[in-house]
Formats: sequence, structure tokens, C-alpha cells
Amino acid sequence: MENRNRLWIMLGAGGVAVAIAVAVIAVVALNLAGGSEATPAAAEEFPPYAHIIGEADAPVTVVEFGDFQ
Amino acid sequence: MDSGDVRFVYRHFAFLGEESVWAAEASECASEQGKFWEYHDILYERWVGTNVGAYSYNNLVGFADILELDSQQFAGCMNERKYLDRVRGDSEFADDNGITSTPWVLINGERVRGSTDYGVFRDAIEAALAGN
Repeated sequence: MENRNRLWIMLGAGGVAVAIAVAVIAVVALNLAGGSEATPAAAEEFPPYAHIIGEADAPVTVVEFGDFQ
Repeated sequence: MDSGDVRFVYRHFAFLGEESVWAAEASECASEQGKFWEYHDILYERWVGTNVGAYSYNNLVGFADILELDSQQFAGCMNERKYLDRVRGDSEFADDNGITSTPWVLINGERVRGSTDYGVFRDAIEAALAGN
């Protein structure tokens, strides 16, 4: 009976380890592959002096935060 | 942009050193004379390295001359550091919003990560237009 309990504990621990590994791999793969992420809504607000090309009612707004270097 | 589907917004995140700040200030001084985008383009064309003098005072004034800006007005603007607060404000805003590198591009509020190839941006814009 004790051996059977030990077996279940080992199987459970192994399962948890596999789940963690899969999660880590998924996160790394997502970062390497690109994709998109949300940025705080405040970054979509522009001061009156912002440099803008295009129509104010354009359905797509591209914002670049740039350093000339 | 010609179709009216896209608008492009440029904001400063001058974080790589003094020359970043000087160049951003210079672009604002050019903007004062209606030549922001032309100055923006010439800065990228003439960049040769980070903090190696590409954006020295003399070079920045020289770029203004190439664009036939009023040199006295431009030099006065630079000497006065008229737009330093604006550049710092933009950069602090970026910092406060978790922006850590450049170019940091958002399309309808979603950051485009990974490659900065034209195709990546084209695809992201087309997806945004399609409502994805």
C-alpha cells in the first residue's frame, strides 16, 4: 500500500512538472514568434502637439514611440 | 494613409542619451517651421551610430540648412532649448506607460512585436482594418 501511495505521489509531481514546462515553453514561443500585446490606453491619447499624418477618423491608428538614434 | 484608412502618429522616446534628446529637440524646432517630417527623415538618413556625434549641434544645424530652414530661427530655438520640456514630457509619458525600447509601435492600441519588417506592419494594419 505504501508503495502504491508513493507511486501516485511521484506521478502527481511528474504531472505538475510537465504542466509547468509546457507553460514556460508556450510563453517563450509566443515571445519569439511576435504577436501583439495590449499597452495602457493612455498611450493612445495624444497631446495637441503630437505629429500626425492622416485623417482623424481613420479606422487604424499607428503610433510610433521613436528615438532618432 | 492616402485612402484615409490609416493615420500615423510619431512621439518621442528619447532614451539613448544626449544626442537622442538633441535630435528630438531639433525635430521640434524644424516642426516650428513646418518641416517636422522632412527633418525626421533626414535624421534617420544621417544616423551613423549612437552617441558618436551624428547629432552634434553643428550637424543638427547643418540638417536644417539642407532643408532650407530659417537658420537664425532654428539656431535660436536650439540655443534656447525651447522644446526640451516637450521632449522630456513625451519620453516620461512613454516611460510611465511601460515602453522600454524603440521603435515601439502600436496599431489601434496593440503593440506590434517581433520583426520591424514592412510586411509585419502591413499585415498588422490589414488585420486591424479587417477588424481582427
